[in-house]
Amino acid sequence: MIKKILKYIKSIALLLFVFAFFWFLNSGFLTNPLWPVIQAGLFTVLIFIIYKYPKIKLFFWFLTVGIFYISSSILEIFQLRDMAVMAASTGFGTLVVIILFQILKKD
Amino acid sequence: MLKKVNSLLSKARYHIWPLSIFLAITVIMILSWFRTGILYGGGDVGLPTYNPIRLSSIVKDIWWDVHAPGFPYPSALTSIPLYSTLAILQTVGMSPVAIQAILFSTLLFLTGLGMYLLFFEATSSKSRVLSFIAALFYMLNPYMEVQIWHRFVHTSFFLAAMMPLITYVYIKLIKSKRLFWYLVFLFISFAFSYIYGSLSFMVIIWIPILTYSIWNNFFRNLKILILVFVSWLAINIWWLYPFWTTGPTLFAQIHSIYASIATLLSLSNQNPISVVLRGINSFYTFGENIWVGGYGHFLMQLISWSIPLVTLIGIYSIIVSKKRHFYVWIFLFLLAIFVSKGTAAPFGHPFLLAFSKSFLLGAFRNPFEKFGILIPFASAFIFPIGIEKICFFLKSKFSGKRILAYVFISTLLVLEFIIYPWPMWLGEIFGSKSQSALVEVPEDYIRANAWIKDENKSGRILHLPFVTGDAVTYSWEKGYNGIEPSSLLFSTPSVSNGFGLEQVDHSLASINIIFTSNSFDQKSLANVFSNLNIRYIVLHKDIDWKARVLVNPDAIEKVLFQISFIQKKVTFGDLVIYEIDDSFFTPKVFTAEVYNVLTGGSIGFSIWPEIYENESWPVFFATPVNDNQDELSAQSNLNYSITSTHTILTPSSPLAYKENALAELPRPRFLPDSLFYSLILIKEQVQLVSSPAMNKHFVELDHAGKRLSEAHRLTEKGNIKLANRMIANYSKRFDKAVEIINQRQVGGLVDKTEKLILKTMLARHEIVLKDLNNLSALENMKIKLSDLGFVPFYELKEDIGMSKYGRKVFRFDVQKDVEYEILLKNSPSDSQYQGGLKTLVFQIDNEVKVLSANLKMGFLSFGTIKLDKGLHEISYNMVDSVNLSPEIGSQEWQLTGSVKQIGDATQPVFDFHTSKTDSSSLSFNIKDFDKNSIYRVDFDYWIKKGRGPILQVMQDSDWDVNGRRYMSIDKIYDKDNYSFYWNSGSIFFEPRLNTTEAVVKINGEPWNNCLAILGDKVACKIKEIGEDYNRESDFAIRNISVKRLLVNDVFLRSIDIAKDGVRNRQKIDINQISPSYYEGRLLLNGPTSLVFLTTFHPEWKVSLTKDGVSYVLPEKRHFLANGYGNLWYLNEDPGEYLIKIEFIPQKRFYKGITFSAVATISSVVVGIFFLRKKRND
Repeated sequence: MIKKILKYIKSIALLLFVFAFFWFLNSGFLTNPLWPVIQAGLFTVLIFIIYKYPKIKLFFWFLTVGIFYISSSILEIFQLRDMAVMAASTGFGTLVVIILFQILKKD
Repeated sequence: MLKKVNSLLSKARYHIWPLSIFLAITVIMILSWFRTGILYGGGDVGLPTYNPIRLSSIVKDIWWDVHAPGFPYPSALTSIPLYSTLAILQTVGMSPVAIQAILFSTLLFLTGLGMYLLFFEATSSKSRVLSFIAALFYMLNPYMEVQIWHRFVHTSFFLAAMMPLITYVYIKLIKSKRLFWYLVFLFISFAFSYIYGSLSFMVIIWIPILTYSIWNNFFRNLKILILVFVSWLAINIWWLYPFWTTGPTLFAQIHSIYASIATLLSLSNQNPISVVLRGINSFYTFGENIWVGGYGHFLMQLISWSIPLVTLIGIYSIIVSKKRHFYVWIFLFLLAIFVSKGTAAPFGHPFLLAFSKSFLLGAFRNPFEKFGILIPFASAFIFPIGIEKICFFLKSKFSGKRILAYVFISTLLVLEFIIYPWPMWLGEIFGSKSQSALVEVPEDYIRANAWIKDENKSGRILHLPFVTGDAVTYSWEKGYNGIEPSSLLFSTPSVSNGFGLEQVDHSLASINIIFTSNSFDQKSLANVFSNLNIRYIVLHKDIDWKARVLVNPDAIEKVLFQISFIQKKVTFGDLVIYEIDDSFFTPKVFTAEVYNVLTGGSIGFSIWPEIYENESWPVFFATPVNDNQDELSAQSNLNYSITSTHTILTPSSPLAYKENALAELPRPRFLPDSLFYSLILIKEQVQLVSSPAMNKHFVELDHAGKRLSEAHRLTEKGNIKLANRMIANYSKRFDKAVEIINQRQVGGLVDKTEKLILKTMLARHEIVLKDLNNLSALENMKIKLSDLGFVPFYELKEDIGMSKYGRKVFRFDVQKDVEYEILLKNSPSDSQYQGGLKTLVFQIDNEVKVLSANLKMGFLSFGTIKLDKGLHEISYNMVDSVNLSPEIGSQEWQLTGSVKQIGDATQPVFDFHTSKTDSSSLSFNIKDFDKNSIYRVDFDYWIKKGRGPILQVMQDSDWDVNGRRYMSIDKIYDKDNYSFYWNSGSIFFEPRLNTTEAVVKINGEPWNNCLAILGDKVACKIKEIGEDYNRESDFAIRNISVKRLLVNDVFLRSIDIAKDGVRNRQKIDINQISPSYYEGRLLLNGPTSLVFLTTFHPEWKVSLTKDGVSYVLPEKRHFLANGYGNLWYLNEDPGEYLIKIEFIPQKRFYKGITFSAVATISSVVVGIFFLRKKRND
């Protein structure tokens, strides 16, 4: 039981560390002060899902990035510039996380 | 040998069709671009192919004498190979247009060829089709279209062509280890050295090579990489050595870290990831500077998004199919995007962090422009794979109708390579509709240059109107917009524009000051011409003076006409040439006993002709530089004049009040004695880390304010010990904020608004600190803010009617204990003030005095005062002039439409009525207008119905763009839901420096509610529809006044001014051998000064030889002459000397060439042995 709790705490601490790390990386963002935090959270969740559910096909993740890109293009057409930037940046961030994960997985 | 030729021919045959298509694309594009037969030019590059022979003769010297008064351009050395090659084309009789067409076509073809060969070589697919698509993508992607070709930055053209080519050669070298490829690598490095004119490109070209090497057996290839890198250094050392030893001091003057960060943040905001991913620049495609229509259309936006989508598919395909040799390009792609987006999300912080730590990274402050080329470069490897994947997918989906797959792919490629980059195909790539990039230099310039050249006289040309920046607009037949080209168009050195260096530019600003002065002075003009070694004046009537805020050429012509020592010589079209009489000409090098010393802020360098107005011609003065003032203090017979180093303008009313100050600070939720206080500190830390770099000082001050608030609450609770700790914490945060503000101020980033916000915050802190009675913190605050120039050093007194508010404080750094005369610049005239400014109350350091004025030449003298060496401050309260609007009832009031004067004659009211169709207005000229002033316009208004008054101040320097006049003041005073009946309007007005006349206008226009009812902007803009919603307006105006504020500058001048500042001026027998070397004979009879009228640089050295003994004058005897030139005090024994004046970095250039030749030969020899050994292994 204690071992299990310790494992959970370790996982949560690790996720918190990943979250803080992404937040640190993102703090130079200019458009919306809340967005770096939300995005850091999203990337943490993404890493958690990829780690927890490794069977999810790579295609699905690339599709997610593609959807973010397409959303960005549509938002831009409707002159919603800030949201377009958020969508594109989340898409690209996701792509980076996926690729890094693939490389690490291979190693 | 024959076998090798055969093999080469068969390879060429294999690749013939893609190469032919690249050639065809190049030919089509070049024919389309040059269909008018006219040269392209302007922008940051000017006219690089207009006269390559002349350019190659200029760039071979580090010191550019032609851009007078001279400046070192070590980075231009890199263009020697290019201009020498182009000069050959010009020598064989090619026109500038033909040279440009050949240059562009070569680069365009190499861009495609290089990428084709690289893709073919670097990937294992060996597919001609994929290589062809990669090359097409690299040639015709949005980045290449906008950032490379449209931006017209020539170093980028070369980078785009060189990068794939050099990477290809490097890969060939690694694979074959043949000497041939090694030599080709060195040749390309030398031939393309032009790209290193952009410092950052030196790094960029190595990134693909390094990435490839790391990814492919790094340690096995390390030796070759080192060999290649060392050889590259060796072949480039000829320019690198003088560049690195001359450059850094210059860059430090031009860019500070904070200025670079400000640029980085603003550009990162402009180029977020959604833009960077597509390689477009929104500023040019659908932003403010749009150059062609269509890119805002949603179809075009969709096409641009297809590029990152296809690339994404390419990445997916590479990973899924495990095409490992492509991984390196994915990595490079991610890196390119990551850096090019700068600080934009995601993951922008590390870039900012690195940037704030390194001055050298300043070269990447525009990362999208500098690094962005790597995006299409890396994408060119991934994009074809994406296309291939889509093709396979469609073929498998429509197995029966494969043609559908080909149709889809072809359509996609046509959209991306033909439709999207249509301006490249249709020759609309350069310039825009409003600003064409086509340039036809008028023949008059050639004739004017020839005329001056034929005169064969020494001296420089002064081009008027003088351009303070570096860009100019000419109204030539095709127009011209870009860097001032006079130094290229005239072979005589030209004083034509500013340098971007505060010290030199302030000195050159004296040119504009004398030509715009209301009452110009002949002697001041003679002094300025002497100071700059001017022989000829070329008046450019073809300049668009309004667009660039320059002095009106007609006004200059009137002044020149009245000058007795200038003769109008000849006119060539819009160019008028004047010559200065020999008796008023001053050579570039001479000796004179110079007794004038001018110290203080560099602003004094622009008004020195006025400071020395009472001295006979010519005026020369020295200024200590690099802390060598002690050399002067030994001499007793010098005339010191001092300009202020700082001016502080105190606000017209308190920025914070005792009653509110505490309440206006952030309110603490938990005090430091609370259990939860540590959470507050964590929150603050997070706030600080996550705040953008540009706002950190505000966050620090906010937190500091919170500490003060906490200290106040703790003091009330009686916990003095903890309160004192909070104040200590306050001081720490305050110091940090001041440090950031100081750095921002050095970078020129603290504008008036920011200063006001900061001063308001700090005023609240000061009140609370006083309340807490913490003297040490108050003292610390006073010292730090005084150093920043936010508050005066000496406390402002309120004796003899003086007020702390509305005070102008001048800070002086006095370098010699003597008696000084206090002078107030008398511009425009003391008569504008009540009582004629016969007396004025001054605070001098800690003493308040009433001083009487004496009118002297151009100045009001307020008597003398003895000042000790050190910091002093003189201040006075700003005084309003009399009302400068016309007398009531005078004809000078211009009334149009329905404006009636009602009420009595002493306080008239102007009643405005505006009908549905017509507007009404009242206007008048400002009396005794002076551009070097600040005015305040006050009036009362009462809006009875509809729209309120519009206050406009129209200057004769306002410019029209598309029929709309741009005025610096154009403000509507509209109704609000709070103030009714009479309201007051007040606005400050600072004229442009090229204004000679200003009109105040109050306008009444119909009220319109079209937008509120229809809610359709487009429809409301249609005149017929919009006017239907016009309604009448009624308002009244009274008490209109325009007052000039007394903000005239104060100077100090040592009273011993009876003797002339310059005596025994002697010509010397000296010849200019090259722009950076002079030699001759110098006859000395006693102590004197050597004046050399070329921009000051510590590496200008004078060496004297007598009786076979040579020595260089020590740097402590080297001073600034007239704010920009060189002056050496000579205290040598009488006799004849051989004299040499030399710019030392040029010697380094010659050493660099020798070293480069030896090192290259050595590395080639090493390379031969090394590669032979490697091949044998």
